[in-house]
Amino acid sequence: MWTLARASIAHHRRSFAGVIVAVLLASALSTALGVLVESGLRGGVPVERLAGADVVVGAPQSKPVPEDVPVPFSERALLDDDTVDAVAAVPGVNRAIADVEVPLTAGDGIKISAHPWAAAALTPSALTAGESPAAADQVVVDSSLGAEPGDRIELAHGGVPATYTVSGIVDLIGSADAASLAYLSPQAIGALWPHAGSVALIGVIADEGTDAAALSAAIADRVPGVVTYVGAARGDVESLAGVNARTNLIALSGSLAGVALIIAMFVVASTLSLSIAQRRRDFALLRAVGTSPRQLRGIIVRETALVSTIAAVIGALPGYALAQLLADQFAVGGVIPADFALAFSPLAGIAAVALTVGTAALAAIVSARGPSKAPPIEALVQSRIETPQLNRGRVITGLSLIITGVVASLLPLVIRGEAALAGPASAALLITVGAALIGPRIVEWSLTFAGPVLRRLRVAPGVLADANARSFTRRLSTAIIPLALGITLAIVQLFVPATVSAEAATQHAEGTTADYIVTSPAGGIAPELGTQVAAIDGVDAVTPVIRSNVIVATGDPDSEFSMVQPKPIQGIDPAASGKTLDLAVTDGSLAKLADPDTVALGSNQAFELGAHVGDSVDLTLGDGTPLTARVVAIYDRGLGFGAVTIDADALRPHTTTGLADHLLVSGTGDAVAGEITALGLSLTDASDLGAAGAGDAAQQSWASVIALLVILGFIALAVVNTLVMATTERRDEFALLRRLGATPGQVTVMTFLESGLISVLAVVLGTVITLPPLIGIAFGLTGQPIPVFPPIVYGMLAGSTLLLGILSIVLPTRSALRAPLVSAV
Amino acid sequence: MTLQTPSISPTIGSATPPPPAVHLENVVKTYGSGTASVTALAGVSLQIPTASFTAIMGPSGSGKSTLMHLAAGLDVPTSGSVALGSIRISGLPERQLTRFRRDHIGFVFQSYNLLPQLSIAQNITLPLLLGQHPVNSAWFDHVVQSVGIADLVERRPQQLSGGQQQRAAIARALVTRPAAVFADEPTGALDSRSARQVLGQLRHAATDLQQTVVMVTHDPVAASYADRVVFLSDGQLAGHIDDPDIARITAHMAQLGE
Repeated sequence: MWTLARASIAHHRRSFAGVIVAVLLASALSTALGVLVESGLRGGVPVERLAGADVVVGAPQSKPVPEDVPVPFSERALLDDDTVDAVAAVPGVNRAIADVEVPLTAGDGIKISAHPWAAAALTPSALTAGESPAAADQVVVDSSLGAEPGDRIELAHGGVPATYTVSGIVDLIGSADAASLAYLSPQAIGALWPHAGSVALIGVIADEGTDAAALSAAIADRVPGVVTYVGAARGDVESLAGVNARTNLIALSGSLAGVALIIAMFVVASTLSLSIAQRRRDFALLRAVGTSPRQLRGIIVRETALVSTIAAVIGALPGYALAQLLADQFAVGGVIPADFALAFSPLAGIAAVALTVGTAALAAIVSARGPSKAPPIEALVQSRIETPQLNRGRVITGLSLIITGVVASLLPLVIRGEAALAGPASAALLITVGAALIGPRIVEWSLTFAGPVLRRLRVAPGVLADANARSFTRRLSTAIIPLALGITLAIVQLFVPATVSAEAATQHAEGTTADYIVTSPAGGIAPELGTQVAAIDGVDAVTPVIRSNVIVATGDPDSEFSMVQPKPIQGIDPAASGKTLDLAVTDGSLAKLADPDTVALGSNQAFELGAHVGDSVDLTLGDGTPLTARVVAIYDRGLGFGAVTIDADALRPHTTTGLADHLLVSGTGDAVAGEITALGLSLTDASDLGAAGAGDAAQQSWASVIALLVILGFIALAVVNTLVMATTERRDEFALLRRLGATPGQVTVMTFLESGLISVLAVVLGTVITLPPLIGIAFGLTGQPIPVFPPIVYGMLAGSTLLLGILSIVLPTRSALRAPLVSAV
Repeated sequence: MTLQTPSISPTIGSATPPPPAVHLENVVKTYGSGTASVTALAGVSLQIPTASFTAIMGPSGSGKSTLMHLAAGLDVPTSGSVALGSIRISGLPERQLTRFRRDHIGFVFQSYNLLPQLSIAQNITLPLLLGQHPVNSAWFDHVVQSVGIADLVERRPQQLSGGQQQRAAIARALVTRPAAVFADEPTGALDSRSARQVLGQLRHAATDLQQTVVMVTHDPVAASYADRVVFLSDGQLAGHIDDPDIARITAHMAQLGE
């Protein structure tokens, strides 16, 4: 049986080439995603600044979610001062060094991370010149700044400058691209650190001969409420990015893997069934000479297993390179730090091979059923032309899927808030699968429009293209569906965020009533600067705006429908809010935010939480602090300003830096602007600033663009593969036409028309499928059923689909035409 | 009508006033190169008169298919010349050759080779469509009637029997009023009754429609319908029989070692 399988593979090289390509690509993609998921669990950022610490102790930096990935805190979770002593008291601890981090900027905008001088012991470094900082105006900087002991340098914190004398220089050992470091005296750093009584991290130097891992376990055991890190894991906690990187990676590659694997398997299965359909005649022949259906299935499954195993193993290798490529792109998008190290192990490759070979074998078993069961004669007859009728079950299933998808798309008409958006998002997939099932019907139906046009051309290629399309609706549909799927996926992935961010930007622009938006070139604004701005003559009202994230749990935590998600929160000055902001309050009053433990909620957020004014809600602030607050107002512009609004003074202690993002200033008089800029601040407008969460959204959307590009690339290759396979299969038809006197040009024009028909149908179908979900989403977000269709992006999508579809048919046609006429006879 | 082996110099045929429908002059065809080269035709000269029905026979590998491919312009000779009517087609550029084939040569293949996606009428008129020539409906009707498929023209090929499909293929070959119709084992896939009908159609095409018909076959029964049977062996002409009957053909074939 293996001999037969091998012979068959050798004979049908072309057909198998297509299967090999599909399996190879699927295996590469699966391997890459496997590596990313595994890296989310085992990879990490290399430890640099804290490399000198044997154990690093921090507060829990994420909120555990039952049966799901923990949600990371966006701000540094802090440890109480007392913890330092508690850690120091653990046997085996030589020194427990408290560390805090304060962002400073040097005069020319260089970002510097400032730490207490004691923490220098945690960094592999050496004081190469001068001495440690003793006075509050002394600083030790690293050699990258090029300063000398005795130099006076200006370092600003939150836009407030201070002059320091350089007391010493440290040389960092073995860290390639760490940010510039500065070390201040305890009193100086204490004045800048906004969280008196708390520390960010504790670095532990162990006693001589103490095992770091054992010590780590001992600390975790003896000191409650801390997380300990040893070895490579110290990189996780060194910076906030490191903390979030792995969670981000797991979440991103997890969601990417879901879609990609489905598509990869879909492609493998459909390529395989195409290849089997192409060889129906051979199978019929085998049946005719006495092969039993069972034996025939055996042959098909064996040859598939043989071919796909080889292809999958070969494909796994470039998969590892693809993983690195993806990780690099995620780093560019800021999802993970650039120095995040992936975890490469054979596991990902093995899993990918098993998965793709398994899928191929399964698809072979399913596809082999038809040809193996058909009576030999019928099989021979069938091999001449396609089965014209779709079976009823298939049509009913297809239609029900489409209807379900459309209904799910309309969910936002009934339910509000982001929870309802999950419906439309998955609806697109449902409709696509439904369309795939009744694809031939759709093709037939659309030919009633396209056919007359083709026939009216009154030239042979037009008539032939029309006849081909009519007779081979399945072949057409096999080509159209994956192309349409690509378009659908791209539109949903790109245009939903576009719709969201367009609405957010509109809300933000309309809701910002202040005369001036003030930002600091340093990145944050210290509270005293706000006071200075308020004191300017002609300034009416000033509110700092602090942006952070809050973790909101919605739904019943025990049910399937619970969600724990980070949402944007803004902190404002309730007293000044009336003159600077219009959040479109529908109920309650923002002024009441001045009361302790109160919040205002965006209307969608309120809907999701089922909260009304006067109700109490449970939230988790950015640093992990739980907050139970009374709702005092509900507002409509939640997308533009954040789902939750709170008093800035209540939010500030729960941010890492304690700085405001920007100030909103209302005032009259020509001098106001000049005086603001004189303070070293800059003026901007609402569109430059961007809506709340726009930065995060941009990061997410960049990551999803990358993810999308990978999937689209895969689909593109798969489509090219299928179309080339299908076109190459038509060699005999082309040769016959040529013998009957068709010029190569006529044959090419014929396939060009067919491919044009396929590509246009794919674009139209792909676009139409996305309309119900997009309209649903647009309605859910904005109350208007008008989705945002960025014309350039859409044009590029449609254009590349057309190009891809046409080229991958016309080019193989040209190559098939190059074959000599007679050998094909 | 002259027929020669390469050893005898050609004299008589070229003197007759109307040019022969098909004229091969010292045609050589080799495939491959160097030591791997195979000579399919080793210098064949042959003239086939207009409105005649010629059968080409020979053992497998004798070069009969190659001869037909060259005569029909599907392939080009390594040396020698091929002419149809007054047109020398060997040496024509591919584009002109295609156009010539389309407008002046009709084909009938063993496996019918009708396009399943076209109706019978569309299949028959395809060469005209490809050449952007109008369909002469009187001629079309005449042709489909004479091959006996007038009632079937709206059907698809797969709805027809093998014999009916082959007759449709004959109609397709005749619809352009070609200089010559080439048939490659046209009865190879048919039962004997259908085969008789198809051969009758080819005979009729030559006699009544004044078409030149060249048929490659290995079947003495089929060959017996022709005006003349030309034998090939090892790439060279190996005699001919005029007004053949089955017994003589079989005897001649036996001589050639089949």
